[in-house]
Amino acid sequence: MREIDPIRNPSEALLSAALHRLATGSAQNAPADVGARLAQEFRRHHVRRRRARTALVVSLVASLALAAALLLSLKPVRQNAPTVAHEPTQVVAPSTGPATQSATAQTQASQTSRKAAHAAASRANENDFVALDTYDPATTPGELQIVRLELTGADLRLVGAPVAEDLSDRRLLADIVVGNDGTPYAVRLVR
Amino acid sequence: MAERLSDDQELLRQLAKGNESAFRTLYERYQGRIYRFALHMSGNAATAEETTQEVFLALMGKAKGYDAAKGSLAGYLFGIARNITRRAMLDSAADLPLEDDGGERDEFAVAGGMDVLEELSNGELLAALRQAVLSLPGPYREAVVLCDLEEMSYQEAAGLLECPPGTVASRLNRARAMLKKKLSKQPSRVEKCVR
Repeated sequence: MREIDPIRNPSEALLSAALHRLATGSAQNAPADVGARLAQEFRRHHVRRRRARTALVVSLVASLALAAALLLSLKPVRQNAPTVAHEPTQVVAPSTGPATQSATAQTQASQTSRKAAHAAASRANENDFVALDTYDPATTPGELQIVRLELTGADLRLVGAPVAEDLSDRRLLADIVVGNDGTPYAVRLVR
Repeated sequence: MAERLSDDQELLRQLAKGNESAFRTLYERYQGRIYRFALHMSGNAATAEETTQEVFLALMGKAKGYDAAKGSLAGYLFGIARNITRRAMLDSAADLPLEDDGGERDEFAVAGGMDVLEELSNGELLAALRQAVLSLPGPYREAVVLCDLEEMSYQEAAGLLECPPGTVASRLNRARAMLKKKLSKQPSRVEKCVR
């Protein structure tokens, strides 16, 4: 409250005193039920948020599973096509030929990709890949795939990737090692 | 002050994570000032209650919307309260008391000006003063509410109103002059008897 000399400035002093009485004479706090209502709303708000977060994780895992399933469904076509196409070649010239070499190269590439995925998951700390809690060292190379996805930092954090909070809203490119069932085992941030 | 700022920030972090006791602490810390501000600005307990509620709902919904670099949490909350109060007052503009500067009661103006305050009973005085404060234009009313009723320093009020302290001081002087003028037009007890 401003100090006013009542002798030199009586009207100012009177007004100050009256304002002070008005301030002290008015209700000082919001009614208690406002606080109770807000506390209740706070609880509801966070239950809703938790549910939304769980739904997000579930949908993320489901989309990873879907991506893995799609990759797996494409895999036989990729592997079988060259085999069928080059069987006659093998009969005619079983030793070597350009087509056979190409098929072998593709098969090797596929195996390399799987091996790389397994190696990536198992050597998590040595490489850029970070092993997730779900990683099972007992998985065999044939059960793993690397899936490249663009997700927000927040989504990646939900999966378990070490993403700083200030990148929560940024879309990041990441390689995710997933099993046949879509379970993510390791993650590597690409960009 | 700095301690409180960092404490506020920590409480906000906890609040964003869903910690209810952090929310309760912040509510207890600021609800009184927000409620009184809205009450004195609107003159209506229901509006004050609603404003308090909306301010804290906004805080729980957008705890990350507060940027400590831009000012104190109190300033942030008062900013929300100001906007809500203004909106409420615009919505109920028709119900607001009109400026009573007209000559209708000039005949009761007392030569002694503020001396009439001494003759009014406490209840009459508070009612007259409340009415006078409510009839002040928004920026002047804010200055009176923050500096005279909430007893904030010019510096503090300036931070909340986002203007220089000098502006707050001049608005307050002008507001007090308006209040005195309005109150001097109150009929004295003698005049009421004659009436």
